Amino acid sequence: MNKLAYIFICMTALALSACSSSQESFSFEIKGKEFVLEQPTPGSNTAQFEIPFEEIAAAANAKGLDATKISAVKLEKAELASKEGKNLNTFESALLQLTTEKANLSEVAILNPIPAGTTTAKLNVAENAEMQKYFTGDKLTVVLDMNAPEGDTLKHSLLLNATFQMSAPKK
Amino acid sequence: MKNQIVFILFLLFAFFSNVNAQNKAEDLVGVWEPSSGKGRVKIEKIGDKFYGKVVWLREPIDPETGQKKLDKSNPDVTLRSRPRLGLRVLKDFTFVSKGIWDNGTIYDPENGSTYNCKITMKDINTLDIRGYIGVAVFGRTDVWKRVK
Repeated sequence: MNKLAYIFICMTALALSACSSSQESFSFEIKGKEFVLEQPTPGSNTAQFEIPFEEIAAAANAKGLDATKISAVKLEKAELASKEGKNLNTFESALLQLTTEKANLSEVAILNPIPAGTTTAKLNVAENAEMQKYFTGDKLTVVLDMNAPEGDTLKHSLLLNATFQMSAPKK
Repeated sequence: MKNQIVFILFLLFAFFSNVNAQNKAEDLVGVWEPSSGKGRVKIEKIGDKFYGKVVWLREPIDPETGQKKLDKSNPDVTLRSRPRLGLRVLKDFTFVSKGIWDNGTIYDPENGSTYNCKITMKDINTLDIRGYIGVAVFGRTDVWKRVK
């Protein structure tokens, strides 16, 4: 009986390890996607863009992975740069968020305060943010809130460079 | 003949009136003032949902501190340093049917409570904002007027 239990445990462990080893990691990069803040007002100013799921799937497909079974998503880095080379500290803080049709808006990276005299800013990524749910829909909406101390009628264009690391099984 | 023209004009008027009365999802977008008049909330569409944040406060300075008002009643201590101006108080509303946005929440920075919330557009410039816990029957409705 003990032998049978031992064999059962071994086989289960083997099956589980086989499943886990079939997962491979890949990265999805957002390169220079533009947020446009038309006329910033005092307080939070919101800009957004959408990423069709096909773009994420293409990154998985390039490695022969199944994009419909993405797991263990982590935001590795997120950087903002002024397209016009303006100082970013016109704003007090930056907050990056994600949302999809099914998953509610949540915060994934922040920089507060934005250092003086900088045209690029590296955001602090949320270590424990659960991001897998954002990689299952038709599209991913990336949202930026820039907090401005005073009204500013000048248009700002900010470019986002970000890298997500995630896993998916082989097709 | 004259009667026929009048009748056709009447039908056209009725048709276009009806078209205008049918609220679109984006009709919710704008700046709104709650009945208290203490602040204004800008509702915007993010992705497929609607969110509202505080864009104006009648009294932006906290008389106790002499500084900008903060979210000091938030139950999460780490969030109490957030400025009230810019705070996202309406979250995750979806357009359900004409004139109704539901499945969202409203945050009351005065007491730090978050309630389930349903928005009903009475007319293009008036919203009924119903906050509740659990069942919508047990709640409170506030009337918001469009500013922009």
